[in-house]
Amino acid sequence: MVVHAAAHDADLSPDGVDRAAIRRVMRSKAGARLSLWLSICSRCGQCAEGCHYYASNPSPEHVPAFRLKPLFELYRRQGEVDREFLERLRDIDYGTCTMCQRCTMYCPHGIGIAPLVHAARGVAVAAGMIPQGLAKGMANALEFGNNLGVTEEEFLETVEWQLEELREEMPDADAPVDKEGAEFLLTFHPRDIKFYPQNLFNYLKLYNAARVDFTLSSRAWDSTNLGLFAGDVPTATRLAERVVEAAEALRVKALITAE
Amino acid sequence: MKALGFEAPRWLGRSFPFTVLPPLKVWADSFAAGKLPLVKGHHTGPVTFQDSCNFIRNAGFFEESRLLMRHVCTDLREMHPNGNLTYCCGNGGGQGLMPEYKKQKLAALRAKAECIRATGAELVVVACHNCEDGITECVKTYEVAAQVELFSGFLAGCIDLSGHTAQD
Repeated sequence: MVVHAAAHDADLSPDGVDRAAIRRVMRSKAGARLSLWLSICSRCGQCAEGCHYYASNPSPEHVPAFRLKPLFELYRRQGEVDREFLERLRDIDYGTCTMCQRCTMYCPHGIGIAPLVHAARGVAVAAGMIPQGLAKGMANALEFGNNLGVTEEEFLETVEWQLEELREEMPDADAPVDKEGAEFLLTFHPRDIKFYPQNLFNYLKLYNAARVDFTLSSRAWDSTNLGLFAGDVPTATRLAERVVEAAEALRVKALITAE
Repeated sequence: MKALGFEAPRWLGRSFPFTVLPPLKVWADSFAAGKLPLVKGHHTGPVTFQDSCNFIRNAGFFEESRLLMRHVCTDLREMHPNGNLTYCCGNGGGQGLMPEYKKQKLAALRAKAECIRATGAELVVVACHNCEDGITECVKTYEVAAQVELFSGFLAGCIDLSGHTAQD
């Protein structure tokens, strides 16, 4: 899908859409896969059966192929769109899809509708239209290394506390932190630490019961990635890199993701 | 799983010297190797399992989940559809962090609620935090009489501790 460069750097729509930024992200998303998928979708509607939005409320706007319409239009119009168009794209692609990929199992062409919804979300990010909840979680993750803003001290204290509790029933339990050469690196959802330490207790209990050689990382223990949900690939990459580098530095054989 | 297991090598443009596994895969492998002591038939009430899109449909660990569930449950009831074709918990793709779209999310959970209700299960075991919230909202909204529990907590309650206390 060819996206022509803007004639000049500043290219604002009358209602303030930065079309140059939109075109930049369109070029970054464009490729053989996106182009092929957008061009072969024949709107046959078989994906409808795949979607729980449609199963629960069978209306045309809940057919997964409908979610590709804004993206298709965006490329057809070479990014010449206004704010109202982008708000509609945002509400369709963030608001009516969980990117669960069930629809792809019903598509006769195997079109990856979720990756296309992801691309559309990336366009909304470029337009400054990212939902606030996702934006806040991402900001936390970038600053603290986890999306709930837990400090390293709080994390280590919580691990120590839950290990003490676990030793009441499992005296030989352990929770090694930053142990190089362990087989597994254990990571979490930040709420396992901040709101539900019982979850952490349960994980430690399971891995100790199985006598698994594991370690925790003091600096990269959140394996969730809100950049993925948001469609913000640069942020998603930075968040993933943090965990990958920790796993590499600890020389583990496998990384266990959050549940 | 999706971010680190599937997307990250492409985002970072390189392969990693380690594999990425969801917790239930590690638990199932440990159990299959005879290393994770779980009490057979520990849970006797009617129970069903929510197949998460990340670990089941996208990562393909359906059999691993059932190996564990069949061992610790005496009354495992499958939803229909289940496995790769199960309906989403409703909370994927960041829906849990977008209150502005909550109304649509809850409306879309009707199909899932009826799947759960039809099993007659009193407990839905979920293997993902997003599923935990989605299914909790689902049973609450559509008044399905079932509790929701994370797979980790459910299995941790089935551990046979005799090997550990004996050493003390």
